Amino acid sequence: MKNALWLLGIGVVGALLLLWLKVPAAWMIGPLLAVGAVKLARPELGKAPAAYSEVGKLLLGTVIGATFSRSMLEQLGHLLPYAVAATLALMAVALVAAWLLARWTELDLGTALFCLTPGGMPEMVAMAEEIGADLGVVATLQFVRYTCVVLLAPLLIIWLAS
Amino acid sequence: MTRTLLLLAAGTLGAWLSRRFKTPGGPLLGALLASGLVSLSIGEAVPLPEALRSVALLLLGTYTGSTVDRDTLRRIVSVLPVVLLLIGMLIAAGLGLGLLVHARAGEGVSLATVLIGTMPGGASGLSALAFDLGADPRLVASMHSARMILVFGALPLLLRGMAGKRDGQSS
Repeated sequence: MKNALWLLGIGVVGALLLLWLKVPAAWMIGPLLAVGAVKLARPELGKAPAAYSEVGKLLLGTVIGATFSRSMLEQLGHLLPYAVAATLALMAVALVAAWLLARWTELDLGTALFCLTPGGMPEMVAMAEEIGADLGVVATLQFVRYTCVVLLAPLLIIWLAS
Repeated sequence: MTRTLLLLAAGTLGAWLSRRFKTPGGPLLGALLASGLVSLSIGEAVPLPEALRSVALLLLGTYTGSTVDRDTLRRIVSVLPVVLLLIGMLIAAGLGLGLLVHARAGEGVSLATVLIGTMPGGASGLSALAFDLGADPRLVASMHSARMILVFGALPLLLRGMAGKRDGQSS
């Protein structure tokens, strides 16, 4: 119980530090880095209680569900079927990529799939826990994916669209 | 306030049901579906207080951080080169799909809008840049929301398929 509160306190400090540094997704990356670093130095602190992850998943799911509205889908208009097709094709590519990752490295296919599926970093971490994947690996590689896209996409789009 | 409580109650029920019936995707998906159904039946989206999302990320980030050990670091370093290559493949696929969608259905929509919309992720970061790149931020956000909904719908089915295969092998 005492360790659980310590871990949460370290998480809050990490979050505030990254908020101050204006890092995106500071509330997730901050605690991940701070608690991860402390755990490497003091492994005896143990794992945070399962309740943390259960309540986290419940709240995150509720917040995402609350953004659903009919107007969002209506806005896509004639693009909707194409957006759906493009997403399905992208998921197929992610599945092939995950298969290659599992083949070429020690990661199992489930972990590899959660590392590469473009579905949001906290969301993929929350779902990866259900299959017992290595969460630290999933979270870090999802952050790498996010960073690569945000850094490369603007350059590529300026080059292609102008 | 009433709407926030209603959605939280729905999310809690959905999360509980997902544990009770061991559905794939777990409480995240259970809460998402329940709160999504309530939100759709209300009609307009009810944005919940930003603090709820922050608390969710804090709890998930702390939990994830507490699972880190030396093995995690070693694994990340050893798979990183391959992962970077595969992310490059995903971005190339996103660009190719964007060009294809724009060629087929691009009337009245800028190429930049479609290209940002078909990127494999980065929704929050790219939406902020959309305007500067000559894209329609609302349309970009809608495309990324549609992507997330599809991923949440399709992943559990994939997982169930993979779990079934694993059970088949072990028995």
